[in-house]
Amino acid sequence: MESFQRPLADPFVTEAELVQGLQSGDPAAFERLVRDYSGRLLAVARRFLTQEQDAQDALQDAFLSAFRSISRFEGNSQLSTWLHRIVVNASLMKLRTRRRKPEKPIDDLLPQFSGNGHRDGHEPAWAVTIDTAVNDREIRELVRTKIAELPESYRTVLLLRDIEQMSTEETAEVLELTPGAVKTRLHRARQALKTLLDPHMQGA
Amino acid sequence: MNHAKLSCKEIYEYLAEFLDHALPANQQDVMETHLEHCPCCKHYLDNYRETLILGKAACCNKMNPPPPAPDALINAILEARKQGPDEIPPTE
Repeated sequence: MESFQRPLADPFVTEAELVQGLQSGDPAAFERLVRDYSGRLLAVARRFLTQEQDAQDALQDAFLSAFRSISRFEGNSQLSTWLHRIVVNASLMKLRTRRRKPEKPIDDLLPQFSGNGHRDGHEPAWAVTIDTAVNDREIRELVRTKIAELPESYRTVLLLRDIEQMSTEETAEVLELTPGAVKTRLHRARQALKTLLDPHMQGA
Repeated sequence: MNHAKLSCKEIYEYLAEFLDHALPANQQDVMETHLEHCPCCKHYLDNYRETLILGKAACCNKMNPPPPAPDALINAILEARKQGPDEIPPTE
């Protein structure tokens, strides 16, 4: 006769149970939190920090910061949203504190114009349709690679505004820039990313 | 924006605001008129807009499920917690 063994009950089925475990200092809750969330949060840190060690350090800093402040988590947002924001902050802190390499100028990636303000060169429509591109795993990976190639000060603005959906004012505050500078950098970053994607999107 | 002599260079400068509909109505109209008659600027606008869409898709965790973090990192984080907030060992 086949015997059935009842699986051990999962003590953290709901987010509220996990938060309760964290707030009461249950080591199993901390392990669950780190195992469940570290993959997706490391992906966030890697977008800001192109050196793997920096991204891992930022993730560790973020989790330790979250552990310290979990008692104050009141459930006003989802745990994942709360952690995501902490990782973004830790990544920005890492960018500020680590030794900065000189950036390559972005000008070569911007469109050039003749003296009368007309475009120097031809601008073909992309041959790959947007639906095809969005649903192509390799193209999405290529786009991430190209975002990583952007000069850091432009990449950071692009990530905060277009990906993290921060407002211009919020981005300006965290980066200590004027709102006008944020707008200019965002536009330049998008233009540069477009230039980097052009050769791959024009030749079908 | 000089409406009378709107160059392609000016069109390019205002693309972000144009896409956000953040320009005054008369400037938005001038942009639209130029884009209707200038394939180069129209293609640039389309490719610029698609760059934004692709950037979002490329960074969407739901579309690109990330792999688990390395075990060594997970263990380092859990170990650091046990050490307490004042003694955080390096991850290496």
